[in-house]
Amino acid sequence: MPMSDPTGAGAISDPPLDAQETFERLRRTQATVESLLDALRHQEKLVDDLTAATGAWAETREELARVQEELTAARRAAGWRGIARAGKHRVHRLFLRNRPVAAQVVDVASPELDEEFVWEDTRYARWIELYDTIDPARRGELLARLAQVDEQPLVSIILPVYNPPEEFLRQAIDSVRAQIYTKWELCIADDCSTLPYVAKVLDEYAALDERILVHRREANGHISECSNSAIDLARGTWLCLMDHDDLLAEHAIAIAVLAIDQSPAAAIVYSDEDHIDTHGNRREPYFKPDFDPLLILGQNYFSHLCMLRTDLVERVGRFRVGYEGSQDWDLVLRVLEHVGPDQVVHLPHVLYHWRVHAESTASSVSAKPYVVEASRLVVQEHLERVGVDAEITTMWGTSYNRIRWALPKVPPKVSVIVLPRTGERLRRCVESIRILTPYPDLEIIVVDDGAFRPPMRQMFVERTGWLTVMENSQDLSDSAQRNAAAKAATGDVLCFVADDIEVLSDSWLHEIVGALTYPGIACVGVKLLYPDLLVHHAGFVIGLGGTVGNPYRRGDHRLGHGYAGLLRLARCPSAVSWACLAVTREAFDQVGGFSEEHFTGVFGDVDLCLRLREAGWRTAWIPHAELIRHVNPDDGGPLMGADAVRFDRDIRYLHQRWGAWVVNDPAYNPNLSLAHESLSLAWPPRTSLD
Amino acid sequence: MTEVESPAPALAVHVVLYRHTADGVATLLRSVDRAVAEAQDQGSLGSATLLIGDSSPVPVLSPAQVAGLASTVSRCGGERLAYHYFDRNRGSAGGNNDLFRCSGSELVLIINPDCYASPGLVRMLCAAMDVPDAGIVEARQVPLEHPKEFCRRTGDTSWASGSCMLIRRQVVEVLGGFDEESFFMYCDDVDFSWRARLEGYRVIYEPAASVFHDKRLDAQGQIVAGEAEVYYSAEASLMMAWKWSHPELLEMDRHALLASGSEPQRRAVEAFDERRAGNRLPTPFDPDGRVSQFIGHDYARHRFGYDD
Repeated sequence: MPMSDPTGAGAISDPPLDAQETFERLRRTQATVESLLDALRHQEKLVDDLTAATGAWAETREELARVQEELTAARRAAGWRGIARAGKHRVHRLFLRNRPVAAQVVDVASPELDEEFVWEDTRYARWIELYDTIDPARRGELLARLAQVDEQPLVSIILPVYNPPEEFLRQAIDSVRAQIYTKWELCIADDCSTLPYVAKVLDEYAALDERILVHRREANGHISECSNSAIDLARGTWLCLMDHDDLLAEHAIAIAVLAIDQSPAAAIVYSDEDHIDTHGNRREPYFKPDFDPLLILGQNYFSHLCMLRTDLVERVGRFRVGYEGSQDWDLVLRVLEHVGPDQVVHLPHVLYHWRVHAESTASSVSAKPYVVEASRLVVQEHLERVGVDAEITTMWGTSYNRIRWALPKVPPKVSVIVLPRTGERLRRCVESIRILTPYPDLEIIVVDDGAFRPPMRQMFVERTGWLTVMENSQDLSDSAQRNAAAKAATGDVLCFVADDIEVLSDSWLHEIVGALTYPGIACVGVKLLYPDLLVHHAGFVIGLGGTVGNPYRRGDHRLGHGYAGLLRLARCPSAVSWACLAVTREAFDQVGGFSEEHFTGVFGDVDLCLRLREAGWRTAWIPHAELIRHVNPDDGGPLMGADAVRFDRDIRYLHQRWGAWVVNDPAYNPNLSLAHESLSLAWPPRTSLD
Repeated sequence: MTEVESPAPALAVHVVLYRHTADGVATLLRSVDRAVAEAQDQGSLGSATLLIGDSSPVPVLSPAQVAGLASTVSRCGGERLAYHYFDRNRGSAGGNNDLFRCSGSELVLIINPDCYASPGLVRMLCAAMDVPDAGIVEARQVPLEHPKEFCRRTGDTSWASGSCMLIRRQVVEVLGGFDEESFFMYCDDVDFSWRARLEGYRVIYEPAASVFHDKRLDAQGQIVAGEAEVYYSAEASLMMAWKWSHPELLEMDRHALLASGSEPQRRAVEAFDERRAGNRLPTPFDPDGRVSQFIGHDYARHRFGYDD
């Protein structure tokens, strides 16, 4: 009889395990368990470390908050040495030649080795040599023109001083003494400098030149109080603001006086500027637009050189204590409340060199939190005074102000008007608007000129009530179709969009309508991006490339700062693209809508914006409303046949009707190139010193 | 009754600069001015103008230097001298096209900035142009030339080098200038010559018109080429094979460059492939090979070789 097997099967198929093998298996299992235990202990240690690190992190955060609080508390008590430079924390893009910014970021760290590469600083040095150098001929020309000025105003240069490096202080005063225009006085107030050489240097200069007046304050009182002490000395009709280690160009006051002579109503005069390092090398020029009522809310681009009429400064009560670091911004905003936009004169010349040195950078970092807060506060209070309902916040990682517009209690009805080319594109456009636009009162009008295939059309028509399909003749031009749709629309705001757009930020319409509530603004454009989030449109520059151009196109990314921060700041370009253009019905009707006679192919948007400008309205561009445009980056090849003929005709009429803008777009700068979209230098500039 | 002679033709001299020195430009202009004077005095040339285009990252000449040059050259000076800063690197094809748009004379002399004109240069070029159907006349470059075969009787040759050539403006107008879309800095002249010949113009080599061209060889007798030169040279050779209907040559070149080319050469192949994929290549010319010649790496039969 065979041995019984409890399982009844194993005896044959499963031979009994050898003891040695069993032991071997056990040993292996034990090893596995041990290694798992090891791993577990390791994990536990990691958890402990993490807990400890979290604790340390929390402590660091507390410490940081405490230090910030201390800094804020120290706002009035601290020496203001840090403040003087802190406002300099303005991010200038390094000018590089014809290079997308994505590459520039790399370039800055390691310059490319190819032959083409030239630092923009090198180009700027050559540019200065060619076009921004006062040779005897230019000096003579300026003197001759100054001699023609009947009433030469006395210009009081306001120079608050606190412990500047001696060399820079001397250079600053020397730059004033070198002025071609001689009818100035230098009003210096020393805010109880503790460094011994300051008093010596000031006394030395006061003895040297009777136009130099020095007041020694009895107590340290910060830059606002110290500047006001300097104003006490001033007898001039104009005040020129200057910092204690910066330089005036030798023709600075001369150019300003000549401009004031040309515009007797002028109340504020400001110029372009650049940075100067400790060795005297100039770089990073900021060539600014003419007066821009929105840009001045985001960035104090008036400083420097900024000159203000003395009576207006007295009228608003001089500098205010408590706004140190942005006291000059606060002052210009308060003066602006009393003057018209045509009383602000921009001088497109680099008349001020802003000193950048190690100390200034270091101090700006340490002083940053409350200076940034001051820069927010001065604008917030300005908007409250002029009755604009908006909240000013600081953009993360910058010291720029963002304007968060408040919508009216009853938001105006918006009519979005789309001219479709293909049903597919239209579907993406309309669906993204529908899903991503929480705006309360919205209608969408789709103009059908035969682009629809019947099923597509059916799909849209089924959504009536929310979407209107308007039938139009194919013979009408795009402009005529837009006008017809505007007539049929019931909204107070008309928002024209191209069918290749896709909404990216859900607050886009909120931002647009908010900006339209700002006094004087009737038309708003947005930040248009390529699908890869490189910039497509940031406001047009008229005259760029001989017609109308898109600065920054494919040269910066969605969150890029652009030139001097202009890609992050709301501002007023001369025109915006009708790929997304919102306009109030009131203004649109006032100027008669899009021209149906001219610019039926291109530039209809530009023409509308410029006619609005003639009627007294401004166009705004806002960076926080973002749409994607699904265009091929290679688009823009040569036009063929009838399109080319129409394009030629439109270009000719653009030059005829808007010739002054083509030559000099006031929202651009005559020192910037019309040949490149990358905001590079103009060779030669379209302005001259003579 | 006096015989009415056709007036001597007007000339525009075009120079495209790229990072050259003001002194070098002055030397060139003085030599050109002297050559112009000789042709004018001999009666074969009317008025002459000088156009300088500048592709450099910063202007080579300041306004004062331009004024200085204008006052030192006699025949092409004063108002006759103009300087355009392009504010971008236009390449040789694009730069010359820009200058074509700025001048209107019957004849155009294109000369490289690293050339130096012999006194008889302009006179001999003009004389050679004075035959039926002549469209382009090429000078003889010393000490290194492209040793292209030419007809000893008529001077006809495959193509003319853009480092120094005289062009009838009519040719520029018929051809629409150099093909700057396809060629940045090499072979634009070969392509231009061949298109001219397809239109019935003759391309003539004139050994009596000599120009010094500052070319350098290394100790091994090889042409010294920078990275950009290697890249654009590879780009141009691929484009030539494509544009002049030699797809089999194109593929051979592509594979050779990819397999054993230097890094810039491989980059040039990649750029070419990308262009082809994006359908951005020109329509091929001359499918029957009426004017094109691909002989080894040359675009003409050579009289001698100096490199391998």
